[in-house]
Amino acid sequence: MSKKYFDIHGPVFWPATILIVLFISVTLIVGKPMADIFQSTQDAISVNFGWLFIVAVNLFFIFSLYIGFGRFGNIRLGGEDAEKEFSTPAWFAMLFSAGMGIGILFWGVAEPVYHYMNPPFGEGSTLESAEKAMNLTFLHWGFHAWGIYALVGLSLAFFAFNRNQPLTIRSVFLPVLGKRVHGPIGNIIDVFAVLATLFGLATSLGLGVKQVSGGLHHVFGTPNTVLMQVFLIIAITLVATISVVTGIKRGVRFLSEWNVRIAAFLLLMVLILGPSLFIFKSFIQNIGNYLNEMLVVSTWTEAYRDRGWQGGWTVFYWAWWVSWSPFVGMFIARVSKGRTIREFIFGVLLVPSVITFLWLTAFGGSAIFMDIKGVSEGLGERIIADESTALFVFFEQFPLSNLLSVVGILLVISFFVTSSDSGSLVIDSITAGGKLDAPVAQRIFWANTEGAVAAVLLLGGGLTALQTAAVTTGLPFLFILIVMMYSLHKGLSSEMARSKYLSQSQDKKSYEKKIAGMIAKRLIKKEEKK
Amino acid sequence: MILSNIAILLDLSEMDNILLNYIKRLNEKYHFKAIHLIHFMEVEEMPPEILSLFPDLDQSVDEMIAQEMREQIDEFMPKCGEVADVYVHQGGKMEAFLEWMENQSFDLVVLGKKAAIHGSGIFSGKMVRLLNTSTLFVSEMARGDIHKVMVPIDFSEYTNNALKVAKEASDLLSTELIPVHGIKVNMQYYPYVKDREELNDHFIKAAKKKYEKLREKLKIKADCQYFVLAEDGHISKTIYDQATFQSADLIVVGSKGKADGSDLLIGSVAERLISHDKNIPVLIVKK
Repeated sequence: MSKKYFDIHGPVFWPATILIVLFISVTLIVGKPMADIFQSTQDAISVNFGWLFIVAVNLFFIFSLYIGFGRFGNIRLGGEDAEKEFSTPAWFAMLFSAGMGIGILFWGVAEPVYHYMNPPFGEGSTLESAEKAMNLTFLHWGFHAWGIYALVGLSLAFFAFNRNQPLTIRSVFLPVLGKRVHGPIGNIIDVFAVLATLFGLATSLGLGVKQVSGGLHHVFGTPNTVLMQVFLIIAITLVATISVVTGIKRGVRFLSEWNVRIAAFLLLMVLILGPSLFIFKSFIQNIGNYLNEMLVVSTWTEAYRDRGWQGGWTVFYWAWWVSWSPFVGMFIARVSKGRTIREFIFGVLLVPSVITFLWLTAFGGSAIFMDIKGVSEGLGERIIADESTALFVFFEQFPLSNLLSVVGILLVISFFVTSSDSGSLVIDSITAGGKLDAPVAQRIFWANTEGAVAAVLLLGGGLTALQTAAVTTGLPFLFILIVMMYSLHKGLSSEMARSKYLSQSQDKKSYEKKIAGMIAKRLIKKEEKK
Repeated sequence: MILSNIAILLDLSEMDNILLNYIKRLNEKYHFKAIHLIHFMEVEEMPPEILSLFPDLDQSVDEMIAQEMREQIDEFMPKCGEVADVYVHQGGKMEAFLEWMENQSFDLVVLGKKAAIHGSGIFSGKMVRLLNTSTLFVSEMARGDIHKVMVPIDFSEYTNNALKVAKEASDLLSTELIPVHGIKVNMQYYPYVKDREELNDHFIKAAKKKYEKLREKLKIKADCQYFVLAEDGHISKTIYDQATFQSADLIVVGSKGKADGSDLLIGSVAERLISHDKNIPVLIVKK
């Protein structure tokens, strides 16, 4: 096959493709028993390894801060003279869209309200539970979540750009495994990353169109059927394909930038039309509360009184972010060449967290505020009744609610397109052996595979089952991430030492003099020969 | 053979003759597969004011350097003509040069170490630290006849490789092989031990046990010498003193020891053995 159209790394591409087909067939054919197996695996993981997730995720966060603001901060990704590929706003837009955009649309209203109504501790629907709810939501969406992405993204970027390794997960293990990363162990790690990414993407695409379809039904009364949802998948995949074909510098960047602009517009509308003063005041108070309580909430393991709450929330989120991290991390790495490590941690860990806090305060916080004030009877219940319509139920309380809902639906769709296209780029890059820009035909293949997997699962059932399966990959990846910390630290340490020696300047003048002397000697010799 | 594809870094100073002569002597026994004479141009371009001094230059500077090196082969290693070649790296970019060197997968890089000859030694210092290749430092006193090879060992992961390289050298050159092991006893850890000698014996015994295992594995005949260090002494000093005392003419050492972390590019022992006031050639074995 011509390399122009397909340029694959066989030992990763074929096993990954076969396993994808196999997994989907089994899930569809076996059906419910398979779903039960995935679910019980997931349960077993969160019961037995929940504590490990909690301690590891805290470590990742602290480690990221140490790397970013300690002595390594000035190392530049791609070497001293590397130039940035993207402007800072474009860079930020892309990493934010890939990382969390879709999630905060889905859960931004529903999650705080849910915790406020059903807190893990104490009475629901009280002032106290409202504050606690914001704390927990900040925990799940804040520094810790972004710390996971920062760790993976930074490790990948460092080994790809400063050590000239292919941009795939295996490269991170260079200091640990040495040359073996290019062999079977490396292939297994990469196949694994492809599966986690594709299933994660396909299932969230499938579940996401349910939200879009539900939203459309809620606002316009269009039929909320499987057919409609499949149609939506086809449309999203089509746009994603176009975006992927034009590449990361055009389509993906363009869409990401518009995502962030539309999201900013929506946020602004909520700030203006909603309880503005409350949002500003509570934003500050929530952050203070969260910082104050961070140590407690982030190390709470439900040790003394286990009601299984954490398995469904905190540990689930950690596993979810971790299983998602190969994809988001690789994408962030892909766009971060030329940034210093300090800039990277600032842009990937701190800034997105703070923006997420503002979003959560404006959306979820306002919804809680409205419920407490009794603006609308039973608002809280209606929001948590169905999280896929939570955003639209919330918008009903606003003037111009139809406009907001339409913008909301548009935003959900376009966030999905960005997830889908950046995901395709990532999978494509892994299965091409780590090339930054693999052939177009291959990108189209992966974009369509994602859509097809989502559609098949939607028609045949098993979306949730496969999503559960995707989350269970969080455990093996957790170990990979722990090794990653060690690996990155080792790499950065030797980079520091290297740059110290590289920057020692040699005496150019005396070298030039030496060469001049040699030339003179040779010329004299030549003269003598004549 | 562990060492068969070797690179000699020449800097066009008087040191080159010493290097070439040394390698010529080694080659009589080693019969290297390939010997590459390499020069790294430290400037991107020669400044025009210097070039203008030679108006009737009919060759580019790098060609002249290459030719100079070729003539050196003819002059100093006439029998190596078939396996030797020359390469001039242009552009003045250290990082690019390092990358090129890594890609060549040389088994050994030979560098000159100057004490009296004018030169700052920064280039050699960079190469030994930044390259992943074993490095031989030839001092200006070295003449290439080797009778004793000393190899300091500490039973770390580098020890095996260093021993293998040293054994190969001593087999090929039919020289004496002297493994040495330094023992440092921190008395503050053993506040209740009155008899220092007893403690030393204990450590020597333990080290002997380890050495016997290695010896069997690598089929080495030589006995190891054990030295107990003074409390505040550095192991490299003991090694160097012993090497001088026993008139060893080559020290083969692993690039890192047990206690050296990833923020060091070469370990403290290797670092001190190649410092400018030391005169014995040192071969630093990387992983």
